[in-house]
Amino acid sequence: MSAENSPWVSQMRKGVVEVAILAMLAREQMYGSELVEALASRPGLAISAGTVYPLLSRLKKAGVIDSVWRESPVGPPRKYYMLTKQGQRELGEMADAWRGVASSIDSVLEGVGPNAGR
Amino acid sequence: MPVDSTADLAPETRDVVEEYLARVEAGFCGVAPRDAEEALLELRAHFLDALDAGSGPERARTLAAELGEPDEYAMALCEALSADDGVARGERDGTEPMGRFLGMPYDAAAPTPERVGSRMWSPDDPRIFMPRLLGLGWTINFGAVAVRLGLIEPDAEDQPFANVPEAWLWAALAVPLTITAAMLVTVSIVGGSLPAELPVHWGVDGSPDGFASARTALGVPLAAALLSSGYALWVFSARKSSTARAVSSAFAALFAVVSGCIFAASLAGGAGVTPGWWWPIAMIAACMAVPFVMLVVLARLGRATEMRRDLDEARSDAGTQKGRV
Repeated sequence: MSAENSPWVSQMRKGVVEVAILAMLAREQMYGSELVEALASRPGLAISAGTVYPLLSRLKKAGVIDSVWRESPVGPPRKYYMLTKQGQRELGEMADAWRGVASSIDSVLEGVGPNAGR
Repeated sequence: MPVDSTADLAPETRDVVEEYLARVEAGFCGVAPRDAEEALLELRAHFLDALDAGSGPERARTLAAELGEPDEYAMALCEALSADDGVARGERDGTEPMGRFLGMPYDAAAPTPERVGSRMWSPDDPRIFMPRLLGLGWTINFGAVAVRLGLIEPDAEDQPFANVPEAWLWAALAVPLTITAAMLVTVSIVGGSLPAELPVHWGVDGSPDGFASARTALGVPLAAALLSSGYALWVFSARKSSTARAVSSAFAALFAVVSGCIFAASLAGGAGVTPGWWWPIAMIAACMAVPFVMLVVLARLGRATEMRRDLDEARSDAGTQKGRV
């Protein structure tokens, strides 16, 4: 099994996809397939539509994001997603928590792995 | 001095530790006994490492507080031990079947409208084959099919069918009711002039190879159609959500079409007509197409309502702003 698809990697991604979606929506409002494409273009995340859509409806139910149909510059009207006040607050907390985790993990991982020298 | 067993601890300290361990054990849910035992041993060792013969109960309570509430600790353990992709998702949305038989999922729980909905129409779930509602095998997730065909977006509606206009929900209910009524009318017209036996089973080439009395041959599909229409009527009369009403109409229509097809084939057989090879294919296609078209039409109506609501709001907002300027 390649490292890309190991259960550990997919578990880890599942944990961070929520923060990735919220961060993208904080930057600009996006519609579903736009968000899916933007996330898919980041190979490290490898998030599929099957993960994004159920998560969007869960986040909306939780009041973290909101959605509204709007005319789009090209094509038909689309359902755009945006952060709510609560979502902005939660994203801030998540970002802090993530930085704490990331810097600790980076420091314990120092020198580990074939790509460590690069 | 670290101790080897809780027996070496001061009695009050031991009670705190044993109580915590017992409560964690009580919180285990469906963890394999060996895993549970191992987890408890580890937890016990954690306490023993940090305590010695002279430790008071306060120290044990601090340790317990660090670990968190025992039932939460147990739940975290359960999750960690049963962490599996598909199972996790299935448990969350209730699509995980009760079990598997020869590799096929089976389910005997009552098909509540909510469960019917989560299987038949989950556009945000890319799986086309969902574990079946009742009995053995799989159910088609028409929502995933509609998304693949580009007929609807996975997130087109906030809550599937929540914004479908009331009249259209009743129109959907009319589909199974009409099929059932047509069967009843047919029986009342031709009931007196039927041969004693009608075909109820056909070979691969389409020639009949099983017969039953006319009463059984027509009565069984008629009963099935009545039952499914009754189910949909019950959902409507119980004032269930739009989602439940839309999905149960399509669900009942599926059963009504199956029953209607068998009913028609038996009648045709009685009149000497032998269905061609295309008959089973046409029948399966009809059974799939009728509920599929119903669900897609309803979902698009729901989407249109949502869209109009938001776009009108935006336009009137723009209007008032212009007025103010």
